[in-house]
Amino acid sequence: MSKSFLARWDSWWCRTAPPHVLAIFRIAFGAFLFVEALTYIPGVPVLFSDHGLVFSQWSPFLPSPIRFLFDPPSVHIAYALFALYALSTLCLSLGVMTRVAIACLIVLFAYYWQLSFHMFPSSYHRLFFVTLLILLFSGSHKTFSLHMFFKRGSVYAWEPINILPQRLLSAQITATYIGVSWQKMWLPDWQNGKILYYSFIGKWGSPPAFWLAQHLPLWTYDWMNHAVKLTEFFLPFCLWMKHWRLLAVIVGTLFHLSIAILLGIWWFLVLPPAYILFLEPEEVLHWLQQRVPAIRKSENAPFLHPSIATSK
Amino acid sequence: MLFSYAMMAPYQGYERLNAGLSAEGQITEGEWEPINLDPYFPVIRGESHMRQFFMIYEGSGTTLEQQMATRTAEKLLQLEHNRGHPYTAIRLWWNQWEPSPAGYEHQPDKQLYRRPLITIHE
Repeated sequence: MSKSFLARWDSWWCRTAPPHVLAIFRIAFGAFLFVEALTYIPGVPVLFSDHGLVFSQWSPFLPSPIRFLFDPPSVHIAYALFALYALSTLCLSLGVMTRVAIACLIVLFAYYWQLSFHMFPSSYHRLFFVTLLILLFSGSHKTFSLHMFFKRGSVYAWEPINILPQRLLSAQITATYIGVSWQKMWLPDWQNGKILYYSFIGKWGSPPAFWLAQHLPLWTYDWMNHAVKLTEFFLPFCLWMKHWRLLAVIVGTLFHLSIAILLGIWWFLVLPPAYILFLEPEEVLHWLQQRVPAIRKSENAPFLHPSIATSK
Repeated sequence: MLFSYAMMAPYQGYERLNAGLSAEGQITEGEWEPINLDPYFPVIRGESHMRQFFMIYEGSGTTLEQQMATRTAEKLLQLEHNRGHPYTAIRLWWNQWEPSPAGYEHQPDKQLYRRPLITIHE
């Protein structure tokens, strides 16, 4: 019994598995970072160079000979670095030179944090940073990638990977939702709907939010508050439950869409595509094999879903 | 631990008052004009105001606030000179006002609380 549990525990965390789930997430995450990078391009001079109100967080604590590496650079260097950042996000999404691209992104993420984003400290940028660290050693480029195209002649070719990075990412998302929801149980500001009303008419409020603030009666914000807390409470559990997962995906997507539309906080829209991380990689491979012949012809037969193996 | 906790802790509270930075440049002795800070924050309003807040209040304590404000004002003076605005002095204010459903900048009762942060000269 105990041995069986340990074996299952070990298999759940560390078994060898198909890479498709992680590859799909890699594509979505890279594309998301690329789109985010595009939004910052017009602001590169004033956000990341010496032409703006930009102050290095680390520079004052470093020896003067190396401070220039961390102080705001000239506009041309700022554009060059940002081009490297945007290129790296594309390489991540396309799965070409993936580990080099992720390493560049990690270094540049830290650089931009100390240069500019320490004045906009956000939970999602921390989440992105941890995600990049995990992806670095994940093997997420081992299918649906230019890497496999150059190596094996097809983007559909694949090689098995360890499931641990996928589990770590899904565990982190679970922890994030649990942390956000549980603390709302006792945070004073979240005990009624005022926080939503004042958020709608505060600095994050969008035109639709201001419109709602003008038309909704105050008691509706209390109900919205309950809805937010219930959503965030059940989401991390339902995403793991097969029979509740689809509902969780729909509710979670609507939840993050509403945050993006009403408060302009769109960066968490990376989470709905990340819900695929909660699926078992063998099930996803089975689903893909039924629809993409090129994957069905793959030589990695040991990873065929049990139902296919039985039908043969 | 703090880094890990910060990933789980978005949007814990809200500010009862809207707040933001404003700046004025001295044209001649005693004559000041407002400086448009929008070009320095080409991002959405929420991010813009967070950046303004952390630019002044990243640390804590009055001494640090003065250091941050001085640093910001000196840099702003230099940047405005580069933009062709030869101000002889810059002063910064931290503003707070009552929020209103009528609009973010709307101040129905003119309840604008202005606190001077720093004045620096060329």
